[in-house]
Amino acid sequence: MARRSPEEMTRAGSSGEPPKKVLKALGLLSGGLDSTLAARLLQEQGVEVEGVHFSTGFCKVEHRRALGRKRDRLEPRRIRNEALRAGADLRAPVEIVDVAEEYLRDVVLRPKHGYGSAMNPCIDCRIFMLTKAREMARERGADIVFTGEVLGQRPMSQHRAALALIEKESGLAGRLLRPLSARSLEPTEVEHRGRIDRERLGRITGRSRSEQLRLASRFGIEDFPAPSGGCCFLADRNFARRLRDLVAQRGRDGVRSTDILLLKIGRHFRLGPELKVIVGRDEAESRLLESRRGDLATCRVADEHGALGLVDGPLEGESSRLVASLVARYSAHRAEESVEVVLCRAGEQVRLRAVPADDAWARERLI
Amino acid sequence: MRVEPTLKFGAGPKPTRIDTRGLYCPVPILRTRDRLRSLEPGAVLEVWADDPAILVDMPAFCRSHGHEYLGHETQEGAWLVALRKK
Repeated sequence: MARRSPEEMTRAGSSGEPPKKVLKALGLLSGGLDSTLAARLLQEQGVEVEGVHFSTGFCKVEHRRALGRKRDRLEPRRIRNEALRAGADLRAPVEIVDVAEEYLRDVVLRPKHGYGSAMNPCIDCRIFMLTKAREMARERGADIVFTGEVLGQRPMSQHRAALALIEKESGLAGRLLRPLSARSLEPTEVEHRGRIDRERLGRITGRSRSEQLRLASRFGIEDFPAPSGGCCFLADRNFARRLRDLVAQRGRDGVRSTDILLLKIGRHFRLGPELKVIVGRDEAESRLLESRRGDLATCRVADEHGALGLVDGPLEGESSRLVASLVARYSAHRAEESVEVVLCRAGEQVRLRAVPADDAWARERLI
Repeated sequence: MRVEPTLKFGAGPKPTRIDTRGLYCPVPILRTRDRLRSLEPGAVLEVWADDPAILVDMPAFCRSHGHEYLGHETQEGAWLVALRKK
């Protein structure tokens, strides 16, 4: 008889049953409580768990890291990568995969199943990630893919029909296990074959988190982030307005991931079909705008380091005056009759005096 | 949470170092993972980073993947964290 690898060694012990290969599962691990619990439910049954976390470029925590605000620098736990933390707590390796470009092009800008209340393509997002996870599972010899999804928890992507659609379109029919809601869903292949004891999985449904908190207490899991519905920029209506504006101006093919970085920062104003200005709301945002300015022009009040305006579009004549007026409005000198402003493009500086813009005028142009 | 320097590599071959300053997590972790692939087990890798999240993300990465986290120290306004490949 051929010698077996460690993975093939039996867990059945001396019961006389044929040895069983340890079941291996690859899960989408956000680091939130649900995916952590899903992993723990499987580990409890002896399943070898690995996690994957896709970095899409739309995570609000990642943006906070880039802003580097003092309170976050002093308390790095506030900006930690929760998927890595969950992997450490679970003692399970977590692979982080950067999918930003592909995700923007194929999911965010071209969702087959549409958007939620903002520009959140939740169903396409799940299909995209699970299709990638299926491929990774095949490469790693994982038997199943799992998620922390809960039936009925989210309106767009976690109702029964959506869960079935996601399973089918990701090519994981019968192989996608949702341990928290498993007993409320059709059994997967591994449950049918008795490789996983269905009775030891969850039957959680709906938006209440009381059952998850009970499970967390049972497993001794105390360190987990608050429910994460608000951590994705795509579900943020302010961000969605800016993204829609950008797509309307440039077309889908004209949107780049570098544009997405700027959409997350500051107040955005459209002053003309081809003229947009982004004004930092505080020093951290102005600093980040400056670092990501690329070849865009900047506008700043002459004697302060506060609000910086980043100008996307032509900057000459009347448009210079409008930009200067807007930036003066968001400076510490907004109450003055006129303010000296410096416009900078390609290393050349132009100084001009501007009258701070009227509040109503600015609000009308806010994207 | 205030974190004090704890880095102590001890004697041994010169560690490999990567510079991820100016990059934000998870990029330093991705660079770490990529660099580790070409190192031998037991090799020490130093990661220079200015994203403070490195101080919590790198120990977590090491714990989940089985590498040994050796600690960190400050250097030129950034952090130098070190790990030993499993």
